[in-house]
Amino acid sequence: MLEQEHVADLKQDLEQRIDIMQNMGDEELGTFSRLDWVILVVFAIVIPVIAMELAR
Amino acid sequence: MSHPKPGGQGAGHEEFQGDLLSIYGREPMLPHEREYKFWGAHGTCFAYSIATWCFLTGGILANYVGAIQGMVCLIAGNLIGTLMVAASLSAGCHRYGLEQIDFCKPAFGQNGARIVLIFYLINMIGWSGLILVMFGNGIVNVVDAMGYQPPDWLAGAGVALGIWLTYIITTRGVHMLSLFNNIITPGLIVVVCFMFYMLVTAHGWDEIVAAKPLDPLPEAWMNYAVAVELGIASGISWWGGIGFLARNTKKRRNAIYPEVIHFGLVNGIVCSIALVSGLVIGSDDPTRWMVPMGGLAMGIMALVFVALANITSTSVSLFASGLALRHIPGLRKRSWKFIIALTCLPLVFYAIWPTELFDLGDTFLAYNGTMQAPVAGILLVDYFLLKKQHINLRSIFESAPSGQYYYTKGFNFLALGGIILGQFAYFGIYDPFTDEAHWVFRYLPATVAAFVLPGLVYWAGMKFWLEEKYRSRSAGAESTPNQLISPNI
Repeated sequence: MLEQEHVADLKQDLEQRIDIMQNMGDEELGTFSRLDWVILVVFAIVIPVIAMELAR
Repeated sequence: MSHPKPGGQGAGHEEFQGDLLSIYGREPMLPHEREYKFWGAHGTCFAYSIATWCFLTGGILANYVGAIQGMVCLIAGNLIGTLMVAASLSAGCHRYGLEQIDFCKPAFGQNGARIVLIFYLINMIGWSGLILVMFGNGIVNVVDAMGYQPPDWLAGAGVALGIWLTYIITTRGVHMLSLFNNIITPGLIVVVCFMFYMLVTAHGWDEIVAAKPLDPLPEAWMNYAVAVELGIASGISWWGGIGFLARNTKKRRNAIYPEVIHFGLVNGIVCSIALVSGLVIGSDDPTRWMVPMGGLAMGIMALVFVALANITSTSVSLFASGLALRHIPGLRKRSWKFIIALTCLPLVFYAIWPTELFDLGDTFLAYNGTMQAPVAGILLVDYFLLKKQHINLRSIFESAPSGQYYYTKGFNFLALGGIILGQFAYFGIYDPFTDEAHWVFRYLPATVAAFVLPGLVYWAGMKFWLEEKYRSRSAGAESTPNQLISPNI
């Protein structure tokens, strides 16, 4: 295949991927709610900071 | 639609067929191409988190603090540091299927991200070399424990063996990596639990808790402050692998939870084994003390699994480095084997001079790691506060000046200045080479300052000054077309 055709194919594939990913929603990628963030912040920030202060 | 389906296009150059475009390249990775589901994500994160770097970190902390303070700093610090870097990277790379350096472009600019790329590659390949030297040293220790005199060249030969194994795994793709991790993860869990069990039964909890730090600093408060700093810095140092893992994960929750659990909690626990062994035995290297304590069979088993964990960790690092190398125009169309061979090339020096480079590299990488905090702080602010989790994907792959992330000649100097500011903030508070510290260090870890300060300055500068300027310029240039003008892939 000629180099120019490669580039054209590559560009076309990239364009399609961009359109697909730009418009993708929770159905395909899964949800991540505010509650998830709260859990993570409590688990990985709040409790560790308290533990560090208690151990100081 | 007349276009072929993405990820499934026809014949031609082997490297540009089907899913290879995204798996071995930088194209946005579609959900069906991603490898990791729930168990795959947990297994890979677990195996990646356990490598000899855990034992290195835990061993250093044994110099400053006792077991309880050390364990708290290692576990809590790793959790904090990991979430600091994973929040934006994991969310963004997963949502858009982006390679990690591509995710830096909205903040640092098309060309600015290449500066991050240089530090990224040095860090990833440098760490890989260090791990492989530790892999080689582990072989030396076991040969020694078996009663033989290890030859001088054995550590270097171990590095060479590690490079070969890593090359084999990495060139066979993420699926092979996932399979490998699924095999060794259960064994690693057993080995880690057994190590803790051996230490507690041999020395008793009371002795462990009462053990004094090995080489504390004169000022008492400094020891705990340094331990907190090292714990958080250890978590921050996961920056390099997070984007790669998130990009290869199918669902959002499986992208971020396993990273925080394994890089934060599990890594902290495994680091604690080295802390405890350093305190009560005087060695943080399990391949040394597992043989006399658990017998030859357990010592060799520990070596084998820890060694295999080193190989998986190096494989993840080299895979991510290989993808990052695709940013260099001359390497975009090269075969994946060529790219991985290129990432392995600098590692050969570690096989030739394992001891010398290990001694030099440790200090250098400690400095290099301080760069990750400001980059992570800026990415967090940019993705969540400025971009509100909406990235213009087309502009990431657009080299033309009309792209939204072109900024000034491809650089966002405010973000790049933030990295320098972070360095000043870090070394203004704590110098890890001399252990000199500002009084603020008692309350504020240098890594946190190097994360927060650049993030705040970047947010204020973009929000009240540059964001409007760049937006109006883009509008004036009638940018954001629906077709790429000059794709950078």
